[in-house]
Amino acid sequence: MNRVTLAIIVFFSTAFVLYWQVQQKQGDKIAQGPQIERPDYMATDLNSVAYDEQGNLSSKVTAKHMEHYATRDTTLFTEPVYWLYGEGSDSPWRISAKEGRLKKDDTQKAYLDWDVTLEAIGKKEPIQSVSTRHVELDLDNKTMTTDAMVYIKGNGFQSQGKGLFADFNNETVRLNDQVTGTYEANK
Amino acid sequence: KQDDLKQDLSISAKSQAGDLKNNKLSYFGNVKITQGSIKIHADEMSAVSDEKSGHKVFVAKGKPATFSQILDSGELGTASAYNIRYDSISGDLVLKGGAELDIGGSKMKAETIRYNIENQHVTAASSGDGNDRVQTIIPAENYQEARNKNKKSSSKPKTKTEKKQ
Repeated sequence: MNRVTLAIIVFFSTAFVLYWQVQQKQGDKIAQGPQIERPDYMATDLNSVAYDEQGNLSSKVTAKHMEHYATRDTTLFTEPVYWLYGEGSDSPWRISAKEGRLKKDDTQKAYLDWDVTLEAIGKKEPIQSVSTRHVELDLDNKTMTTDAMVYIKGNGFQSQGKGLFADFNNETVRLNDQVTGTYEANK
Repeated sequence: KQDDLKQDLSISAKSQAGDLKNNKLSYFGNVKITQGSIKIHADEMSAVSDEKSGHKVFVAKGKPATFSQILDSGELGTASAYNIRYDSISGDLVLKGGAELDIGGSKMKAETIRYNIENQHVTAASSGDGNDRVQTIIPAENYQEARNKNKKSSSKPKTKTEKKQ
């Protein structure tokens, strides 16, 4: 029994003990009945920046809190804020919401829920702000869609409609249906 | 009516598109505008801010786009053209393309008609290439009425309750 074999035995026994402990903990977890799924990792005051192939700033996202669930491969944000830079435009679009989800099959798609507001930074004409209940954000094509009611506020007017398609590359915001609006009287 | 221009202007349409690059907001599909007694109906309408005056100007397009307003006299003033440009602050109306105007029975047809709903001034112009004319039709009784009105108002100031002679 020279020192080498001794070292191997010691190594393997500690490995076995550790493995056995981990199994124990896993076992406990399942043993305690339906477990509230705990996130695999969490981040607070998250800030991430993405650049496109030419190295231009493509999008930025910040969030108060983020949880990632490996089993469902879903990421949940609270108070996410996205800044999206359309092609050839230096001023970004800002999209904020109470909650956000990234989907497993396509991380380039974000679903934002509750008090979603969209505004073009630095551009107050012809639209100042767009608000709705939920949107689907496509970070690849830089588009945003919803079928919910959408409320637009502009300089001296407001309008609303059902369903929205916003294209941040050619900077257009479209209300799809049932549009009504009011322009304030010029006192 | 007199205070039409002081009213809020409301719009309904099928869809709306905001184009931030060119600062233009357009409405499509059965577009209806109401401001007091003023009604504009068009297929498409865009709201732009006028460079000179900075006013909010509505450019309506239709086959034709139509405009109507109840005049102070209670009569209906209507206008139609392929392109109607309406300045909601100054009350200037520019009708282009097969323009027709009918104010209290006096009709006018021309390529372009400018009409201000505040002071009801009208100027009309043909396209200038010679094969179209400005036509104005003033029905007989309107002419008489207009003449009496001038005689009366020049003789004594207009009173609130004016008995018909």
